[in-house]
Amino acid sequence: MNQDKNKLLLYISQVSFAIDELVLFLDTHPCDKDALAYYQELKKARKESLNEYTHKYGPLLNDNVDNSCYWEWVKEPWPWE
Amino acid sequence: MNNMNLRRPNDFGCKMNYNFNQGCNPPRNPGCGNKPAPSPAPGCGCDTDCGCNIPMPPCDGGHKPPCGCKPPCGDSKPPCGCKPPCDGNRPSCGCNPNCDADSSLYNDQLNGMAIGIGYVPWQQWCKVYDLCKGLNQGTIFPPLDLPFYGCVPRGYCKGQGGAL
Repeated sequence: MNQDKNKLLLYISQVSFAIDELVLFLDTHPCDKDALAYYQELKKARKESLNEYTHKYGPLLNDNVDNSCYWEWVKEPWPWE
Repeated sequence: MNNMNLRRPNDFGCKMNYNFNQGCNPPRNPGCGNKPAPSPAPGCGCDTDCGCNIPMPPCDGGHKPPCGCKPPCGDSKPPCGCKPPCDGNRPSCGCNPNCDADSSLYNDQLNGMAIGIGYVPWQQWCKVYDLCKGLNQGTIFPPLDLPFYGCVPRGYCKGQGGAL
């Protein structure tokens, strides 16, 4: 697998996990300003990296398909290949 | 506010030197009712099974244990030592006029809380791990980074390792 693709996928995993952790914290601390601010930063970072991955390597999520002429979701290689 | 660098490193790899604060200096947020976790009480000079067999230090300035003075227990020694009577010189740990079974509260960090209810210390926001370390450790919160060793504390578990 392409090294840059692999690393970008790893970064997306890291930022997605951090968001999952933050969501759990915010569920019990809904007013915490520091946590809310960090959530916004992570959300932005994840969105940008997902867009980059989709643009370069195809959709990672089935609601990220941009091509209106072809259902790229079924196109190979799959992300783990 | 976190000062986390969310920009990807050039090689998208993990940085070896993490600049994170392993301690927490949580700001209080009175508007949301966040309460700081109680500090663990210092040792009160009891041995591990909280017996009262060791002689208590005298109540003078040179030999005060961290929790304050414990006068000699006399003939009836309750667990974990006893407290001086409730006279004008009340020690910082409070006093127990009867020096009886309630003396075990002396070392109870939840002394004063309602009985029969389980308590969980409240988590505070603190500086989190960077993204790489967070995923590797299984949490982004340093206070929740509690690796499982499968052994009793200070025990050697059936010859299979663990803290000695």
